[in-house]
Parts: sequence; C-alpha cells; structure tokens
Amino acid sequence: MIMGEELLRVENLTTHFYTEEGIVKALDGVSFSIQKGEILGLVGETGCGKSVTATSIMRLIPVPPGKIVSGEIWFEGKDLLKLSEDQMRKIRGKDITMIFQDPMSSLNPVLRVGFQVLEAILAHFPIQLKEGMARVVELFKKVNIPDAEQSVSRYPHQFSGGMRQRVMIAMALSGQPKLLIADEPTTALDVSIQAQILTLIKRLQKEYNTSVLLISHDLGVIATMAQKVAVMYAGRIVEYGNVEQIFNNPLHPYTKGLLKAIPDLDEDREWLEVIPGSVPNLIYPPEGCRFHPRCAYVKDICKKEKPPLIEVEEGHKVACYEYSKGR
Amino acid sequence: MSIVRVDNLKKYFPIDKGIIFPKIVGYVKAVDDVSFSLEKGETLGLVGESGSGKSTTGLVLLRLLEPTGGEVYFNEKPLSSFTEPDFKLFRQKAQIVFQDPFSSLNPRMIIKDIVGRPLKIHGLVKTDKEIEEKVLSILKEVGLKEEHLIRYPHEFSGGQRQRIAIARALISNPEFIVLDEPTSALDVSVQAQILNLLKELQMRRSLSYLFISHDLSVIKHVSHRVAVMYLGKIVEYTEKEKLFKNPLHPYTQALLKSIPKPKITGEEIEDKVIEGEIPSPSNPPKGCRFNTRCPYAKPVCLEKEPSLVEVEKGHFVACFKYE
Amino acid sequence: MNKKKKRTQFALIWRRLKRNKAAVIGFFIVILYFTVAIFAPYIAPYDPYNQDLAKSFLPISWVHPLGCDEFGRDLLSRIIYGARISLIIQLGSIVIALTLGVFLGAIGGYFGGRLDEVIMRFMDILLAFPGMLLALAIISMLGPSLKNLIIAIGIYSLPQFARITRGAVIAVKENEYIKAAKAIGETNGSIIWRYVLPNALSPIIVQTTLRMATVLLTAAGLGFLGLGVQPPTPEWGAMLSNARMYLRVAPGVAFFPGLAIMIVVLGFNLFGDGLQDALNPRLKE
Repeated sequence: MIMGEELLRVENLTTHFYTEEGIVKALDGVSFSIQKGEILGLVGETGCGKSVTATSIMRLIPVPPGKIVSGEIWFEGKDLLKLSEDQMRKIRGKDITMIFQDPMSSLNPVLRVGFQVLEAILAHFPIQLKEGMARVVELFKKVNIPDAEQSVSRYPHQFSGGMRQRVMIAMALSGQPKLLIADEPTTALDVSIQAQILTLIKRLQKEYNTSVLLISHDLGVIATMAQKVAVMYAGRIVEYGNVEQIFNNPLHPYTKGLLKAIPDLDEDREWLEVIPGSVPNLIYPPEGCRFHPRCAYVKDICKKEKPPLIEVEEGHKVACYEYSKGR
Repeated sequence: MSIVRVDNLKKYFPIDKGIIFPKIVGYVKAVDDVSFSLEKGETLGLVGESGSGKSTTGLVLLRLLEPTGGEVYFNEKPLSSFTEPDFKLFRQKAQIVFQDPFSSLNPRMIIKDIVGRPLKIHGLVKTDKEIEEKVLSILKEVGLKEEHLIRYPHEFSGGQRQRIAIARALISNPEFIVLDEPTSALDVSVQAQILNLLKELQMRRSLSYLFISHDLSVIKHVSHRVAVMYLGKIVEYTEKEKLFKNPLHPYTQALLKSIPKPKITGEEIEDKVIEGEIPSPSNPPKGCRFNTRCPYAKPVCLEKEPSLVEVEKGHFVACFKYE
Repeated sequence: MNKKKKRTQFALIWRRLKRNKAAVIGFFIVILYFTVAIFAPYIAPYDPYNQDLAKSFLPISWVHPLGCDEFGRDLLSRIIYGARISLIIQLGSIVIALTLGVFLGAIGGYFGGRLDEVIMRFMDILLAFPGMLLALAIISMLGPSLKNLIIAIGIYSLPQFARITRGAVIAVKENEYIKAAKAIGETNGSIIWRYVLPNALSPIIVQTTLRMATVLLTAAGLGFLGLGVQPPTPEWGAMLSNARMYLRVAPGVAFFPGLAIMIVVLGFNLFGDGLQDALNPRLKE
C-alpha cells in the first residue's frame, strides 16, 4: 500500500439547500484530506451531511435547490469546484467514482448489466467494442460474480442485492479510479453478505491502490475497514483521527455518546447510555457549537462560537472547547 | 403458563404464473414448521436475515395474515377456536409496532386520533374528554408532550414517530406486543432511547415481547430467549446467554463472526466472510437449508432436514452435527 | 425536536399554486364563473325569458351590451343564466359520478378479487362507448330534460372516477398504516373511510376539477344536438345551435355563447392542471 501522498483535500466546504421552508445549512466548513491508497471512514447519523459531502465532491448537488456556497476541493492539483462541467465529466466515473446504498436504483432495470458496465468503460477509454466486452467479463470475474460470461447478459432484477452491488463495484472500478466514494455500500444488504462486499472493496482497493471515502452510519463497518475516521455532526466534522484513536480514545462528547449508545455484543448492559435530545434542524442550527444543546459539558463559549478543529494528539483532531486551553 | 405459544406454524405464499387464467406453480414457504413459546414478562428475540420468515411469523401470530398450517395459542387458548368477540379482545391484548416509522402512521390523522382510535374501537372509555386524557397520559409515558396531540405525523422525526406507534400499541392495555424491527430504521442514538423506553415499559407493565430483528447486538441487549431463523425454519433456540456464549448451529456461529464490531478487535474483514448467497425462499435447497453455505456439510445434510434437538438443557439446535 | 412548522399543508399547496400563472388565471375564471352562476338574478340586467320581437337581433349597445337574440331576448342575461344552468348540470352529474364512482372504485380496489373484476368489467363496458355516445344513448332512452341530462352525464363520467379511485386505493392499501389499522381492530369499512380515502384524495380532486370542463362540453354538445335542456331555458350549447341559422345576420348570437364555453372550459383545465402539479411534489409525509 503506497501511502503518504495527499490525493484529495477538502477545505472549508459549505453547501446549502434553498427550500420552501428555509435554507438548509447542510455543510458548514468541512475540511479533511485523503491520502493515496487510504480508506477514510466518514461516520455520522442521518442528516449529518456525509452524503452531501460525497455529492459535493462529485459536483452532483442539484442546483437548484442546492448550492456549494464556498470552499475548495483539491484533487490532483486542481480545484474541482472551479472546473467546467465538461472537465468534471472527464473525472467523474473515471478518476473519482461512486457506489451507492441501493444498487437497484442506480442500475437501469431495462438494460443488461454488462451493457451498463460497458457504457461506463467506453465513455472513458477509446477502445473497440470487442475489447470493451472482454474487459467487462474480466471485471465481473474480478468482483466474483459467478458465471461471468453469462452474467453479463442478465438484467439487474435477476441478481440478488449483493450481486447487484458487485456489478456497481465493477462499474465503479472500470476506470481504475484514484478515489472511490462508497456511500453506505452495505447498509441495504444482509449481514452475512456485508462481509463479502466489504472484503471485495478492501481487496480491490489494495490491488489498484485506490483511495476510498467510506461513508457509513455503522460504526462496526468503520472500525473494521477504515484507517482514518472523520466523525460528522450537523454538517461539521467534530472529530478526526486514525481508527485506533477514535475507537480507543474518543474525545468529542458526541463520539463518546455514540459509542456508548450501541449495544455491545461482548458485554451486557442493563440500560444504554443515551444522548439526550435529537439532531437539530439545519434550517435553524444552534449557535456556536451545533452539538451544545445536547452536551453534558456545555460551557458559555460553546453557545456562542464555533469550536475550531484542533490537534490534541498527533493526527487526532477534535472540535470541542473541552480541549482548547484558555479560550 | 405461556402467554404465547406457536406449534408447527406454516405460512406458504402461492406463486402463480399466467395472465388470463393464473395457475399456482409453487409456494414460497416463508414460515415452515416453526414452534416456540413465550412466557409472561419475557422477551423472545427472533433473529434472521432476509427470507428468514421472521417478520411473516410476527404477522401470522397476530392473525394479520392467515396461517397455512399449525396453531397459535394465546394464554393457552388456540386462535383457531376464537369467536368474533374473542378476536376483538385479542386485538386489545396483542399489539404490534412496525419497522418503518414513516409509513406506519396515517398521514391524514392527527396524533390524538391515531393513538386514540383503539379506545373508540373497543369502547374502552366513554367521552371524548376521557379519550384525550388517556391519550395524553400514554403520550407522556412514551416521552411525548401535550402540544403533540394536534400535530400530523410528518411533523415528527423517525424516533418520535416510533414513540407514537408505541403509544398506539399501549393504549388498549395489551399483554403482548410484537416488535417488528422497531429500531432498524433509526439512528444509533435514537435507537438507544427507544430500546431503553421499551425496556422500561416492559418492566412497568409486565409486557411480553416478541422482538424481531436482524441485528444480533440489539437482540442480545433485549432478549431473554432467542430463536434464530433461516429460510423459514428455526435453526437454534435457547436462552440468550447460552446462544452468545456457546452458539451451536453453524449459521449462528457464522452470523456472530460476520458482524463487524464497533471497536478495535484486530479482526480483519476477510475473516468474517460467510461464503455463498442466501437461497431464495421459493426454491430452498433440499435437505438442511443451510447446506449450500455450511463449512461442516455432510452427505446427510443434502438429503434430510434436521429437526430441533435438545443438545444441552434448554438449548435446541437443528443440525446433523449434533443429531 | 423540529422547529414548529409554520405552514400547514394547505398553505404549501396554495403557495405552489400561486407560482403557476396559468393556474391562477384558471382559478379566477372558475371563481368568476361560480359567482356569475350563483348571483345570476342579481347580475343579469334583464329577464332571460322576456321576448320582445321588436328588439330582434339588436346589435351591441349600451342598453344591450351583447345585443339580442332572434326573439329579442337580451343575450348577456341569457349567457349569465346559462352559466347557472351549466353549473347545475355540472354539480348534479359530478355528484352522481363522484359518489357512485368513488364508492365502486374504493371497494373494488380494496377488496380485489371477484368483486374488483366485476366492477372493472362493468366500467369497461361503459368506457367502450366512443366519445359522447354513451351520454347520447342514455338521454335518447330517457328523453331530453334537465334531470335526464344530469343523469346521463353522471353515468357517462362514472368510470373515470371509479378507475382513478381504484388506482389510488390500490396504491394506498400497501402502506403499513393500513396493516396497523387492522392490528388495532378497525373494520374494513372504517379503514376505507378513515385511512384509505383520505390518502387517495389528490387524484380524485384533480379528476373532479378537470371533469367539470368535460361535463360542460358534453352538456353543450348535447344541447347543441337538441338533446339537452329544452328551449326556452338558456343553455350555451343550445344557444349555439339555434344561432347557426343566423350566423350571417347576427354572428354575435353564436359567438358569445361559444366564447363563454371556451373560457370556462379553459379555466377549469388550467386550474385542474395547476392543482395536479401543486398537489404532486408530494408533501413531506
């Protein structure tokens, strides 16, 4: 695994959605980076902005009602937010690809799966049809779809959920991408299939040295797959570190609360520890730290000023006034 | 005396082909000879993946679907012998909470009416004022407020809607509640709130729960006894501690191994893999239904179906490794 | 906890509707139409039945803003009262079509099976008649009169309501709150009335609005053929028919009833289309 070089750097990404009820401040100054060959886990609950982050990077935010208000997304020396749609299209599907939670809605039900993967290949590589078909069959074999030669001519509904996800992975990897964004890739799959798909992603990631932005609300998946983790809450990153740091030494009250709220397979607890309250409405987010209304350690400053992401130990950052000295 | 007992329950769905004169060509054996019992005040966890038949079992148990075979006993009385008034009472005493909080509440009714309907249907109180009072007290019990009475479901979050669904299930004073994946659609932090609430309610009201889920860590947290289902059959059935300390059935073992834990364990994802696909319930494998994925499959597993055998006290397994 | 929703569902629908200029125009036409029809006796300058042969074919003037017809009756007053007649026909036939159609569509869609088959086949028979032929056939059997016209058009409009309701009911039936209703012991009738129909309303409302236009046209068409309301009752279609003979002499006698028909039909169509769009980005449910 070749590491150490930065592939993607997101700086101060802010995305808003202009709806009938008001402006949803979905992302507020999100910053992180992914190294080459690294798996970054982006974890958070519903509405935290993890999917919006992914679609912002891909520049797939529907405009209107969405708008990337500010920020920079540096990829291979270029700011993706400044590229034209044509330039972005060359990157999308080839250098940066995405797989989604529900493969059934990403695959066209009336086209054969092989054809759909072929389309993806031909869009980015100037090769002949015959060679394209051969590559498709090879890809299917690589993702362990049984009976690859026959499977390419089948339709999506003829496959199980896990198999469809493999087709999506084949499509996503057809361009040998530098960055794969996987948005809840196994959430819709059964537990016994989940491990298969995650193993596949990991294997291919190693083989192609692809970086992966793995988005999930499942902390178990993140703990097992990711090398680095960013915890998101209400449109902001609240904690960032490598996976051991986050799980063995969680710093942010939200991260701690989240880990305590999960029933543990190894220990028995009578009552689960609960984070009081609920996720804020991002049309009217709380002032200062967005977590402050639910935080047991809340101080005055938390209610007024947005806490900056600061480094507490090497590589481990947290946005919380519990850790900044003398502010 | 068990509060709910199920004997050899079967639910087959016919598959028909043909447009003009459809003919039955086969059956999806969603629930195929399932037996278990539930004691008062206890929670039985029913765990399985897609196609296991766990949700169908819950629906058939409450007679929201008609069984194809077998019997359900409520307080030792068989449902097949119930008269109309018996059923009406059953609908008060046995309730259900569904998985999806976004579709289990009528979008066109206010909360007061949604939760209050059972009172009206069963004539449990007389005046409108009494209905409002009773609804309010139940809402408070599940953690909601008076101002929520006149709101519509779409104004609430997923967690709140589940509370409303729980309130609706509680208002007729039931003894038994089927919880069909009640927290699967909720975020982790909301799930914790709801699980705590359910536990509290069980203790306070001596409720018996059939808790259906695919999430083994949740099942472990809530259950006293657990039944593991695979393709319509129960493959293992025992007390919670025994199941998690000493899982016997290869499927249970594989399932436990395959769950990624939210902690640093040193386990690699590759070690968690169970090979193979889950077969379709309309065409299950011959013999033991797990034989296509079982690392211990023997020739007999391909021919005959194992039955549930008591391997140690109170621990039942359906597997030829132990028969 | 979400901040209190400041807008109710109706307010949101209204806002969406307001943005659609065509729908707003349609809405005002419909309002105007209803007002004219309801307040006809107070608006019309003359008695629409009052003949004065000396005034035959009087052109547009201050005294008679739209002129007079062949019998010297004030055209404006006849058109105003014609609106009233048209509205009566529309309301009458839609009430018939709605109550029967929604009932049959709902029980067919909800219970399915044989009942559904029988109801749908019956609707298919009604729909098999091309165009207005069904209404024509019924009215020929019953004889032309206002009452029979309402019945004929009512039956003619029945299948659309049944179909739309059935479709909506089948979709709604699959929702979990229906299963939940069964679980708390609701009867089928109660489920259809409290849970299914209220959620199936949108397409029915849209259909009703659009149907008002069709009914008007059908009534006018039958009136034109002399099978509708009988003279001297002022009905736009019949007025059009009579005016055919005098097109050279006094084109206004044909033009104005025709214009009235066109404007009102347009109004209902624009409003109905706008309503469909407004009801249809589904409100967050």
